[in-house]
Amino acid sequence: MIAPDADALMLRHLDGATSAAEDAIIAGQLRDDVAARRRFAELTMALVAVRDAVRGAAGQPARGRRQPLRMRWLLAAAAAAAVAVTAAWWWRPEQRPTDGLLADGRVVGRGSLVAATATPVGLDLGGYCRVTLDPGATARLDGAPGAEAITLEQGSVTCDIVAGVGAFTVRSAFGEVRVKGTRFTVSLVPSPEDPMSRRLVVNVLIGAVVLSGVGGDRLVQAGESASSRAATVGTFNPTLPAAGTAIVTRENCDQTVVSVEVPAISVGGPSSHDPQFTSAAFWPQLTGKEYFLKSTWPKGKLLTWAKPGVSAGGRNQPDPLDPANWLLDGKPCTELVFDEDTDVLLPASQTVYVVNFRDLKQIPRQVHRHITVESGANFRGGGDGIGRQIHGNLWVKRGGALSAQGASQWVGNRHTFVRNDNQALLKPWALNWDPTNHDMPKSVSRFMFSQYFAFSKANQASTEFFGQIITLDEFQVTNCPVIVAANSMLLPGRNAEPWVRGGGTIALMDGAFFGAWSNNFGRCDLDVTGNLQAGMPDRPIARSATVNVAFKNSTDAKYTGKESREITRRASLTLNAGSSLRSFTSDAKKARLLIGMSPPDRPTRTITGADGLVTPLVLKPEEITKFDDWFDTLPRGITVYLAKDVAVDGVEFDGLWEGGGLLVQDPNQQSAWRNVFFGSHLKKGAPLTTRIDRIKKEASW
Amino acid sequence: MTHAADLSAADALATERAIRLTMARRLEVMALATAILRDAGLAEEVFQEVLLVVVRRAADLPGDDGFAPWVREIARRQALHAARLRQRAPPCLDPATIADLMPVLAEAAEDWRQDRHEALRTCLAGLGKRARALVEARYREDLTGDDLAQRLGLTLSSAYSLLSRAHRALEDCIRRRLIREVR
Repeated sequence: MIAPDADALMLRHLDGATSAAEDAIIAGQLRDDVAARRRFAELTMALVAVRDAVRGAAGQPARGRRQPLRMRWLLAAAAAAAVAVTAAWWWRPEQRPTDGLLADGRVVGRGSLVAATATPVGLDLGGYCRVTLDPGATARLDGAPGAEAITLEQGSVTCDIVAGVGAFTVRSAFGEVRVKGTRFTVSLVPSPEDPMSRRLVVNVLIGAVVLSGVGGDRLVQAGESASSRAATVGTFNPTLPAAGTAIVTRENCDQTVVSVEVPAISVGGPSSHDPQFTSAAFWPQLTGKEYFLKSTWPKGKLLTWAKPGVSAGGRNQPDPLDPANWLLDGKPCTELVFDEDTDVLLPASQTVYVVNFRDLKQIPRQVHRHITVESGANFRGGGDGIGRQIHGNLWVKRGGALSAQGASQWVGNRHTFVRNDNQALLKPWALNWDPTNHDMPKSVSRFMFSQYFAFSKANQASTEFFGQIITLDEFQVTNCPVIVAANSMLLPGRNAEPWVRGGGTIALMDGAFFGAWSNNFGRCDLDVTGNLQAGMPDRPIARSATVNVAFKNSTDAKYTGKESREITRRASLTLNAGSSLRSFTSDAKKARLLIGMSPPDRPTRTITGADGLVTPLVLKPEEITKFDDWFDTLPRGITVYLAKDVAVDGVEFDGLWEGGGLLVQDPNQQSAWRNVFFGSHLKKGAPLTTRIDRIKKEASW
Repeated sequence: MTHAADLSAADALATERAIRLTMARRLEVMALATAILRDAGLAEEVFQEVLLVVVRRAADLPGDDGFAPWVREIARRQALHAARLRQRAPPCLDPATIADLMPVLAEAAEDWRQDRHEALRTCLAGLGKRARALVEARYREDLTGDDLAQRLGLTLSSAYSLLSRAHRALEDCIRRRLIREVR
């Protein structure tokens, strides 16, 4: 226990008002006494916080004996001018200061990020909004003339708005406050129920404001305070990965691939048609090099489901094709058209609802531009042999779900993104697909976006995936790049033989993962005639990325069950002539493309069910047991077929079949490979390569 | 001087990330600098210098999990550098003690979430008149200890005893408010 007098001495010490003898006492205590160190830290922190609070509450910098602090106006990364401004702000090239926005009297641009580093910063927006950022607060200047707005990213602000001039909004990822003339404070505060989540707290001093959240609008009057509902905002942690968050472990390899949660923006805010890329609060995972950032889109139409919380398309449910159930650009819709110029938004609801096209008698043409599915909404589409065509971005926010029977086809000529904000929980190798377990689909429904994915876009337009996304079956890349963003995970599976045609590319960014979630024993897990790579030429990786494939039959053994065809040898991964397997990396010794084996003991048969496992085998129960027994006798280890001219650079192989997992046409072809590494789990002395030729491969090597 | 408008979008994003990460560590950096320099005003300048360093290195910052120890070390060096520039007496804390203190400060900073700041504001408003005046004089007007004592007609030691009581009162008030909120 530290005595109060000790507190007084420490405070005096922190003010530099102690004698040398007293300093020596303090120094000795801090050196030798853990409790004293802790108390000293608490007091120091409190001193700084109280100082901030006293000044922030006053809304003005300190006055007194000291000379004005030498503050910095941080104008650019390489330069700083010593001027008496206590803020740091930035604007982007396209955001020139033209709108008369002032920070501590200096002109700043719309889009600027303003941070109050030491003392409060005063903003004058449009001549009618006076906003004071407390020390430690950061906010971005948004809005437009006459409709000024800020996005509060951290801390607290106090706002004075002149009535009758224009609108003013304080936005955050957790709700927004709209006013016309008032004085109020807004803070981002952690939720007491969940320290990881936050809520928006507003205290109204004069007038009234409207606080908007998932529960709708709420009027808050002078003298009142209110907060957005924390339960609706989910968690937000852009700084993951943290220790213990690994969700994908690469078998037979020391490396753990960590998948990262993307921030949850369950309600309102950005959307696939208005992504607000400039907000790091919404897009902390962006590096600035993503191709979709360059895409520009003409103004389109926006169809919004008008009845959030009300399901449609199921038995005894309303007709989702009734225009009355939709808003077109915010107004009642009279004619429902889904096409490549029309965006779709399913708004958030606390009541879960499904907009279901798939089970309609007359399934509509499902062509969409951008799609946004918010919390509580489920957009079920496609249909047997019908699928869904997507020209734009796709964003499923946390708590939302999207699915399609048939193929989801990514088309068009623009770079786009696909983003799933649902919390990263899946351990794909533990994913136990049991058709008799009806609860199982619930566990993957927020990740399984479609039965198939097919990519066919013009002009090498890319599709970049964020978060964890699964297809039930196929994954087909025709002629364009498919990018798995950093720390994201893309899993085809079951009844599939994923392929990449010439001109097509699967590119994995730092820490990304690609691999089938099931072992379809009769098929290759990835057949590449295009490019399989980590990074892009202009986006080199700094951390390794992983492709996992499953072991196949690497022996002469043949399954000769009663109702089966032969299960012959099969490569786990095939690189055909003209393809490439490589990394674009800052240093191949540190970051490269890892090719490894999916865990061999995952329940292969029960993942897909007997019919899915070895289609077209249709096994009776007794045959399943027989197949399993035979399957278990097979040696583990993956095989990778590499045609003679395949470009190999910056790749590590692990988990190879001990009989020689690299299937090559000519042993000398390895001499052209560059920066090839072998994992630590390979058996010493075991052959690495097996010589086969193309004909043998096709004819059951 | 590079004009902000010349920044590429990627540079701007990196710069913004640098600002955000540093601002999130502001209290810890300020506290560390205060502990070393024993001058809150100088500590503010150190924070500005730290922010400058981080922004200049925006393009190659450590990853998010490596940022905290990295910026902490920059803060330590900047604070020691500031002490040398001001030709002050060397910090009374030896390097080993500062090293021991850094993780404790980091831990203490974790307690200062936004709700604690909110509670502090409320508690400040509820302080007794005399304590409030004392806190205002010390932290808003930036009176030195001697000036403070003189204004109160007290010895230096008594003035700081009163100040420490005000801090204790604030701590108790904040604790009560946070517990009530959780309930």
